[in-house]
Amino acid sequence: MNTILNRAGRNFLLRHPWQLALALLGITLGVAVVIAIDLALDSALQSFKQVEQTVSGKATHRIAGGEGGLDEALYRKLRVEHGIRNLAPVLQTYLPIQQNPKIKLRVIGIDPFAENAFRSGWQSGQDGAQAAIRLVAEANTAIIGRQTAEALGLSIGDELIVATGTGDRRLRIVDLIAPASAVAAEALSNIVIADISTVQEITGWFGRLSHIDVIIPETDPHKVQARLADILPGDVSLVSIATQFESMQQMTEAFSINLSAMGLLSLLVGMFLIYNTMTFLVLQRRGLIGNLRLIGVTRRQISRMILTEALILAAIGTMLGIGLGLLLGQVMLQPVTATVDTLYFRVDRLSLSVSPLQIGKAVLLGIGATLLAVIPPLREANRFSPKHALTRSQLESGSRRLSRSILLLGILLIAAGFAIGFLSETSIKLGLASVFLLLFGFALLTPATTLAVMSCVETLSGRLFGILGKLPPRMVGAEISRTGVAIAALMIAVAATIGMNLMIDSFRVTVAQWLNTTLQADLYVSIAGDKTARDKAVKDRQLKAIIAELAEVDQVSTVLHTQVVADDMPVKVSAFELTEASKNGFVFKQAFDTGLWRAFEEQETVIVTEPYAYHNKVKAGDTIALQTAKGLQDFKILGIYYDYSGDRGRLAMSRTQYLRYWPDLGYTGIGVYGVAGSDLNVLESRLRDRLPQALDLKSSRAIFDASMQVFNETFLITETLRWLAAGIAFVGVFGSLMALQFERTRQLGILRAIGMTPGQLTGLICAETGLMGLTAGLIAIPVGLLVAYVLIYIVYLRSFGWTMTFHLNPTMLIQGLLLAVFAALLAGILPAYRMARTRPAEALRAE
Amino acid sequence: MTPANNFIEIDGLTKNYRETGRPVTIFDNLSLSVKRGELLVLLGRSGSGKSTLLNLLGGIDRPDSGRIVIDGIELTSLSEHRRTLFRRHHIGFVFQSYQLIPTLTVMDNLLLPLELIQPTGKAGRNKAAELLNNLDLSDRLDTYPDRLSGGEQQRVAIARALIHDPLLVLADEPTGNLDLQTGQQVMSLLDKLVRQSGKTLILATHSREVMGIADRILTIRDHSLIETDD
Amino acid sequence: MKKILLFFVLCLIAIMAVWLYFSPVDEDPAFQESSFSSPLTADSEGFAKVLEPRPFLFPEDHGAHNYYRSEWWYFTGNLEAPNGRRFGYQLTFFRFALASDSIESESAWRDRQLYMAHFTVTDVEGRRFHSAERFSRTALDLAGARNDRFQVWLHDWSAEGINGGIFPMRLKAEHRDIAIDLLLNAQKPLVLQGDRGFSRKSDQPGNASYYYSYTRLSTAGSISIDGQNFPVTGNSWMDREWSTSALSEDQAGWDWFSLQLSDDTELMVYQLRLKDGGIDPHSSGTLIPARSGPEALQVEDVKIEVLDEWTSPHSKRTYPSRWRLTIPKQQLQLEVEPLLNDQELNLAFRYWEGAASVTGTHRGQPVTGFGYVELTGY
Repeated sequence: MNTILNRAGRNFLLRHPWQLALALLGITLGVAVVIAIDLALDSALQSFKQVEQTVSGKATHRIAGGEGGLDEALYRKLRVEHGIRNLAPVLQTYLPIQQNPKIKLRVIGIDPFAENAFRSGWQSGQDGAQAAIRLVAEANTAIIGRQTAEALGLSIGDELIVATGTGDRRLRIVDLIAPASAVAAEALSNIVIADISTVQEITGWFGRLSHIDVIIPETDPHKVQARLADILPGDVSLVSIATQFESMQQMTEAFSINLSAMGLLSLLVGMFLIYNTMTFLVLQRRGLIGNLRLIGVTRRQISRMILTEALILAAIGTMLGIGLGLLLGQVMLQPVTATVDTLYFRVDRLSLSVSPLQIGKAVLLGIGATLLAVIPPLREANRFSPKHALTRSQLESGSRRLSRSILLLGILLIAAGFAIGFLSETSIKLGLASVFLLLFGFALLTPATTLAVMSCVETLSGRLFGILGKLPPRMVGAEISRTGVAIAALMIAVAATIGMNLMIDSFRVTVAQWLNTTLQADLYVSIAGDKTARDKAVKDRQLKAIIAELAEVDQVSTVLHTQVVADDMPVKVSAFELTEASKNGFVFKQAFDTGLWRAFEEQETVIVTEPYAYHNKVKAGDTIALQTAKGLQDFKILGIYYDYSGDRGRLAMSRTQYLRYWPDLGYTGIGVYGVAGSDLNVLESRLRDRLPQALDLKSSRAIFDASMQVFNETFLITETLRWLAAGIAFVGVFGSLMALQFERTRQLGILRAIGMTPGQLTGLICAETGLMGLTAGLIAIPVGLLVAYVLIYIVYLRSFGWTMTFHLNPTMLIQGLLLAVFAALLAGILPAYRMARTRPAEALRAE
Repeated sequence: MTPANNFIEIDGLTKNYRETGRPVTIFDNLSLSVKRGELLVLLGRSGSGKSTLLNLLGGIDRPDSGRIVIDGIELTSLSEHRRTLFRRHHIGFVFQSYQLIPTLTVMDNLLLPLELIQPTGKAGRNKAAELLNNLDLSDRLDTYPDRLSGGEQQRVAIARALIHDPLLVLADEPTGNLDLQTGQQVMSLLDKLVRQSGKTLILATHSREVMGIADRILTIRDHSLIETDD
Repeated sequence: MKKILLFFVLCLIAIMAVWLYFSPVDEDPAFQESSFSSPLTADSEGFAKVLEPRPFLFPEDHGAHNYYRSEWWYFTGNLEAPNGRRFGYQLTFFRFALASDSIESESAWRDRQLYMAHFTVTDVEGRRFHSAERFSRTALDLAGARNDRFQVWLHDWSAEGINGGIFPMRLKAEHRDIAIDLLLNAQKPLVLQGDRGFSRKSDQPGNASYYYSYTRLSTAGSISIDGQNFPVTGNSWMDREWSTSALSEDQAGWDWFSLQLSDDTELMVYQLRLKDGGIDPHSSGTLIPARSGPEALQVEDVKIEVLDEWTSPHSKRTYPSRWRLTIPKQQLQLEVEPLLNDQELNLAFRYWEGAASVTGTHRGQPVTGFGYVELTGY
């Protein structure tokens, strides 16, 4: 019985391949985008973790200092004087390969004999001990992963040439690491292991270590930790690697949540498509279902039939979605990693890692979303009375009745959206939830709004074009249960697009304005290179003196960007030597106090960026305890200034204060202020003459351009995803509108029979779909504005701590409207074309 | 009687359908002449080709070969566009299942063929109102088709077929979905209206009840027409 | 519904397949054992060779001899807590030169002297044997041996003359919950082994070492095991040896005995085992009588019979585990038995070295004693 029942259903489905394809597309694309984002994000994090684990082995903690690293004497002190075991000193750097400067190798200097217990991934060479001995015994030797070697065309005995600040260095490969697994191989790609002595020699960082890896036994961690805490200098901290990964994860949390939201947006749109299709399939089969009920098929059996169909669709769609998601994830990995790399931390390798958890998540989402979307049509099917097959008109009035409760639900959701958005304090997730609630709420209002718009249009167009003019709006209104869904889906996509566009545009304008304010100097010299290098501070000071002496130069400001430690976590710090002009580059959140700069120079004070204040919940007047070599030192916060250069925030202090507690690491940048009225080009060429070749000299204009470039790159992934979501919506709308038109073939046949030309028919169809697009676009404009508002003032503020100025660019609104209309028009073209070519007699025969 | 005097002249009409790959012959070298104002009844079993003949006459389907001339215009040589315009001006269709536009009111359904010819104002509305009045539907002007009974819908369909004063009315089983009594009412209305305006009517049916009003009765059998004397 | 179930099972299988393809495989890389021996027997070009007797100069010779390839400072001892609980300990510092010369560099880490240290405690009553090892180069003074006064160390393990001379000497080592802190004083003067400290190990010239010992060092201090602290006293033995090449191609390993007898006599005997099962004629020993100078023993003077064997559950190797030593010339007959069978050091370099008890007769008098036995190449 069930088999025959299913066959009846299946035969029906197979005769509507368009609908089938559409539903599958909805699930597939939705799942694909969600899983792709999930995979790409997770892979970026995981790869970081795996590389660290492969390099550090079983290390549980890390002894790390500020950016200058550690004095290697500390290692001796821990080992010899305090007998601390399970320590592994590390000195690492990134160096480009001479043959291909695009490839940067992570050169890790280790002590091969320090500790066997770490069981690091590199200790898996053909003959670990032999290689270890050669690393120590022979100068400029290294081991690299087999894959890396193959990729570079090198084998044991060959030389790897790396470019350093002081010229090219040759490293002889003495062993290839044969990783035990593909993951380890991936993790070891572009990693070079050498002895600390070799790395010190090629970098010139004599006497320094990057950090010391530690294994603290789980049995009694506190004893060792307490001992270490006693021994370690104030500016050196012991960080648990788990905590470090956790904080990495937290760091990228906002970014992750925002990206995931984009994925969910795609799934939401996909759900509309599934709903649309399932509703269509149920409505189309009202006769069949009525007949089945008549011959004694129970409601349960009908439900099971529909659920079975939905589940099969969901399963196939989900599988396809997972497959597509893996491909898409591979594509997205690059931009996602690039953003993580720019904004958060260095990611050394690119490879997709897939966990069963993620696949499971995708399966749940795909099937869950389908089941959710199938509930309304299922209820619809069960409302069919067995006595007679309902006519469409009764159904439509049914759904009109339904639309009152939908209207109510919509209003409820919007209210909830606002409430959650404004009351949820700092949660990013709730902020995004509010966006979703608003979008969904307005989507529910869309059918009612559409009806209202259609009756207005009808009055107008009826007056202008008579009955022909009335037809398109009537057609939209008559099948509101179908058209409404398509319009709502389109509206969501367009509103999201408008909202994101406005947000990004506002952000761009804000950043541009900030850059214009903050770039006070005429020219900037940026001093690259490692801060640990010897004599750097001295050389930098000499450089500054040379610049300041030039006749064309009026004033010189400097900055050192580095890291210090607070609460055992690294904090970015900028140490400024400010001129009167450069002080104008700071824009403070609160009213400016003239005494601020004096205190800034003379006392233990800092000013903090807005994201810092936001994430650390501090305000002017609070103090921050920073770990210095002399112990903890409180710094008072004088003010909070706007800064969009990073989302984790930073502290700024005067160079004078900095040097009281931390070693001089030279400068990161020197700002050059020309004498009033001097020609900047002359100044620039004079500077170029005097400065070493390697130094980077840029005008504030060039820096502005470069910064905006970085901004655009950072938003690349967001934009890509937004277009992906919009694309899915358009494909969906396209499909459902086409289905709608094909379903109407017979009605269109009558119009042809009574004398409507193919051209007129095309016009009619396009007018109808165009109207739908227009409606979607018109609703999307206010909704998009609202979304932008929530994104700017709630989601992004919470995510990154940045205040943005709402910049209303009307182009974005018009773009959104046009997008909606064009997408809908496009959807009308194919059916119109087909109808125009179909003989009316055939059309009349159509079901 | 020369062919030119005939209102409709069908000559050597052949039509095949392809059904699951196998060609099915509907007409083979079919010929027919119809005089202006004649009321012709087409008989034939289901699937014999009654609807096809009407579709060919209305220009919504094309023959494989042969000529159809209506009022001196060779329909079969017209382009799709011109055929549509011809249909728009000169043909009225009545279908078995009414085929009203569900999204338009009764009045609008009637006005649609008129507006396709040219925008009409008050005159059109008056004409439609009058026609509907004749059909006893004057209280249903602003009703949507799905609120009407089958008989009412078919009456609206008849009105729609006549509103633009076509030369030829093609009715395909107009009573097929109606009960006997309603069918007779509809039939007599159709007869009355067509006769009044002197239009030509070709009516396909399998119901012998309607044969009484026919001027001529033709039966489609074995792909050709056989005149039946009643 | 069955079909749906089947479908989901298929989906699940597909998912698992995808996962397996991408999933990590647990890896377990580690140093390969025994690989340390290879660099140590490699080309000895450039190293100083031990070819003939030489005068010793102290304290310089207590320090490192970096031009020789390898060197060790070997401390073993048998100790007793007041309650009679017995312990053995070993603390050894090895030096290996990775190359005969050094490279000039500003980096302190550019260093070719590698130290290795082994530390064991035998808890006889607890029937436990604890062992640990350390490696370090001498860079940053992480490890080393001083030439100006007696000090040898690797990280926090050290042996150091606390008054500027060699004695009293303090030994300190700690690993996890095992620690020793001992004070050593010489009961007998330094003994030059072999021919005035020149100890031949095979026919080949250069296969020899410079070798001296302190054979009886009174020891007092503490041993702690798992947080329990035991005051201990007893005797230790110190061996100092350096060479560039010791074993020859046909030698498999050695059995080495250092025994301290109750009549104030000490005996050092080693037997170099050949791969063909024979004994190398350069095997030798020294007997240090209670009140006279050391007497050299040749291979033909000493007869060693293996009375028992023990197979290690860790390495599955079989070691001899009880011996009868007969030195007719000295009227000495001893039976040596390990205090614990399992005293195998499963470290980067695997060997057996353990505390042993001795019973027997010397010149007609019954004697007892303790000592250490070292078994390599099994």
